[in-house]
Amino acid sequence: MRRRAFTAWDAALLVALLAGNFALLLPRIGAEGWALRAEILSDGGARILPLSRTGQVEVRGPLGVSRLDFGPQGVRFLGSPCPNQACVRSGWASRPGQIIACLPNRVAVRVFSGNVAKEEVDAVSR
Amino acid sequence: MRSAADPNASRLARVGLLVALAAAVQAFESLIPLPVPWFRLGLGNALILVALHLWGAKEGIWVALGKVFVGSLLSGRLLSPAFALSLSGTAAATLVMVLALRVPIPLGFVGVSALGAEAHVLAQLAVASAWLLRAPALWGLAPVLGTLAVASGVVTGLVAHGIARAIEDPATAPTA
Repeated sequence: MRRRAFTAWDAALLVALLAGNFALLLPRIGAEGWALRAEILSDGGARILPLSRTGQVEVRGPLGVSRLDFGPQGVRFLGSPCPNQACVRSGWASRPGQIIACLPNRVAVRVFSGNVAKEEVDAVSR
Repeated sequence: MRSAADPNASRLARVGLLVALAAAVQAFESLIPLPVPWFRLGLGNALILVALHLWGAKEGIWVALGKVFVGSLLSGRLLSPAFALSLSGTAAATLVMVLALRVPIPLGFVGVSALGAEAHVLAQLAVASAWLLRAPALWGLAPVLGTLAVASGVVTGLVAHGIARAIEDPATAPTA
């Protein structure tokens, strides 16, 4: 029997493949790994908090206490005992890869996606 | 099919022709800029499917291996990370197409090709996420890349059908 270019079975298969591709996404929606997190780095070490939380977090540095504010827009520096307040003026960080920092007080906040702190993509290949 | 004096030489010539075509197509495709990274039409897979369909699993696997090695050599990516992606994707696609051609369901070229394209993408994602980039979040790309793969599988399936017809039955082949 000669193989045809396209049969009814092909049509069913194509539909199944397309549906299957989207089903691959289902177990990941709402899964831990997909949550955005904030990694807070200071002289006291690293802390990882979910970005979805709200409220304030205090981080101690050499100059004093930096106050971080978690809200619907992400995370920002509410106040910091530094001279130029660049950290406060940099505003909200909400997307993976964004970093806000108060260098004088040695506090940095990095937003990332996933459940591992060191998820480094350092190569793109095609 | 026309008979040849020496069946071995004839088979070697046909496989060699498809290897050359597949490698050239693969190298050429890598030069075409596309808006989506990691996406190419994959016409080389059409030639693998032609060999699988006309002559069998062994010939198809030879064309696949030839495509990966010669194609990577032409585009300067032999043994680079991209080569691992090319090899894993093509190996998975070839294996799946061998099996798809054997199922009792009368799949057409389009169905077999789409299955192969899907396997190609999933194998590449597996290699990239588990080994090359170590970023499980890459699986989030699966719906996009998989959908594109199915679409390209349809196109390459139709192309494979045309080529297979032309080789099997030169008299009815569309004249180019």
